[in-house]
Amino acid sequence: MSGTELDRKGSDKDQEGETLLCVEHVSKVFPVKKRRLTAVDDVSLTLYKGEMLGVVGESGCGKSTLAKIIAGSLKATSGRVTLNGIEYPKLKGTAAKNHRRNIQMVFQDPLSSFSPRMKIGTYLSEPRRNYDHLPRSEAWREAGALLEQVGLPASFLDRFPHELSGGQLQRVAIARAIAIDPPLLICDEATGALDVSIQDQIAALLVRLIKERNIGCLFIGHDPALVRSISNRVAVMYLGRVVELMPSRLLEKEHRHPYTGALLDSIFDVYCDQSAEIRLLEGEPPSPLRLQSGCAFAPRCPQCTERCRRTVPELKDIGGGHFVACVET
Amino acid sequence: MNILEIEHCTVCYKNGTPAVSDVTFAVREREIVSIVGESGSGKTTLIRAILGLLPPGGHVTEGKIVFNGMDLVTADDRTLRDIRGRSIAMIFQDVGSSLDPIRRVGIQYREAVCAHEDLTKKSFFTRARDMLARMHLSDPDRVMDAYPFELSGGMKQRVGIAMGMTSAPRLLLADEPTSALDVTIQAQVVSQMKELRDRYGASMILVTHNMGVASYLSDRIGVMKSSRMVEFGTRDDIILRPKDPYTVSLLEAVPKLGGKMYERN
Repeated sequence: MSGTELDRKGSDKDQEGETLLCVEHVSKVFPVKKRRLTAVDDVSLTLYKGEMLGVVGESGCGKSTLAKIIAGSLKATSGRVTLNGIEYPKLKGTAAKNHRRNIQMVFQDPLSSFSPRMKIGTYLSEPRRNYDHLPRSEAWREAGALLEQVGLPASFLDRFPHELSGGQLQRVAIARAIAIDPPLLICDEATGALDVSIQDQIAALLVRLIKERNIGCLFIGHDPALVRSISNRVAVMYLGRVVELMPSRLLEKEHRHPYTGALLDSIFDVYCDQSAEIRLLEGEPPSPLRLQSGCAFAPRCPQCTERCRRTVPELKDIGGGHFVACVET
Repeated sequence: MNILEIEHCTVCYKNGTPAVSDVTFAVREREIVSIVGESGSGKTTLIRAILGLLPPGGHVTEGKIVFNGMDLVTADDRTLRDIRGRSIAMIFQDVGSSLDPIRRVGIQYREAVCAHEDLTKKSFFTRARDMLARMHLSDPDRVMDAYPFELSGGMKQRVGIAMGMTSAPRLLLADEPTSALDVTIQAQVVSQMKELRDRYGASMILVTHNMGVASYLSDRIGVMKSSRMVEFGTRDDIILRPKDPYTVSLLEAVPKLGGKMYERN
């Protein structure tokens, strides 16, 4: 654990700017056979304009549920979500429909998010025709320009999804998401199904596009090394809660939460020392159906004390844009 | 001593384009060799060819695969059946989907082991329990009594490795054994694979796209790209002194803690 006192001077700079998205005390409970499954538990986050916020955690930690709540496809059980001050999940009718253009999403599996019988050009011109009522020919022309922006030839407009590789499809999915200039883009494991060299290209493309267009981006992933290198700040989730939130470039040296440490220890670095013992986090995350009192990480935590089993730690500000939810820090 | 030698091996599917072309390498005793590369590079086809487990239409068209002085390419079905599971075992990427969902794990485990060995029920259970305990599954009896859906992905993967190792094979082929797992569970499985080599002295061929896992576990690494093995060498040669430009670019593309941040200006 890095418990050293830190020089945090530079770290505040990362997150100045106007608030775009505000998530306040959001929880999501699914009823499962008369029991309650808490997928997201009292999460509060802020995303600034033009910022890339990374969310990292293992499967079942609630990161995708959180993405769906922010995207508006799931209703939160409690809490508030606002975009530019508008509580959009409460909007109805035309207002709700018009608001939908403000948040676009890129999913993990490119092939299954495309209609197999729809040409790339049709797929790409759809958002502009739908929201801006552009004529077909004009939208098609714009789609060609979009393709070039994501590094693909305009000749791809006439192709079908199965004729493209996974990386190319993911570029098309990104092009469609940014076609109507949404202020917020959500990438849910957008590079999870890709090879590392393709992942590298897509990550560079995303960072370039959101910079050029000043889009706020929520980037969800399970690989801390990737999420860290792509985002300005990173939120670590465990069992529905954000346990640590901090500037990405300080992640490996200045993390405070034991789970963040364990997550980072689990990554095999390419240049690792083969003789070093792996520091293992024993066991598996407990079922979200059976949440015990106290800190959710306590049963697996190497530094767990009696206090941890009794109190649920709040996310505390420890300065320099660094928040941690651990009783022992 | 080489336990397995693959010489100028070429594998073709029906359409005639080779999925593996002219690959040569050898695996020594007690050695872990990793084959890394991106999807479609032919790495899975290569290790499936060793046990004659190619999907329909796939054939080794050239070269030899020599195990224990015997060419597996020309071996008949009976010989291959004897070797499969007993001398060479295989673990697949998603063990969960290779288990029957409506039968208990223990029954399937016993079926797999008793296909190769004559064991009484009692001696099987002693061995299976011991093996599952070695894979750090805390309650082996519960695991044996469970249906696959009652176990987590990491647990099923460990059951798969235990099943593969029960007959103490001399060579274990692992096709992306940790790719479907979360990072903390992956670390557990990797540490157990290492322990298996250290304890049983089994050789392993590990197919993976995770360069970090390959770097941690391997003695030697082969890099494949579009059906060819572009580089093969000791772990340090490949990781620290890569010669082929493809290996260099592959290593660079891996996100690293403390590594580059994507450009923001």
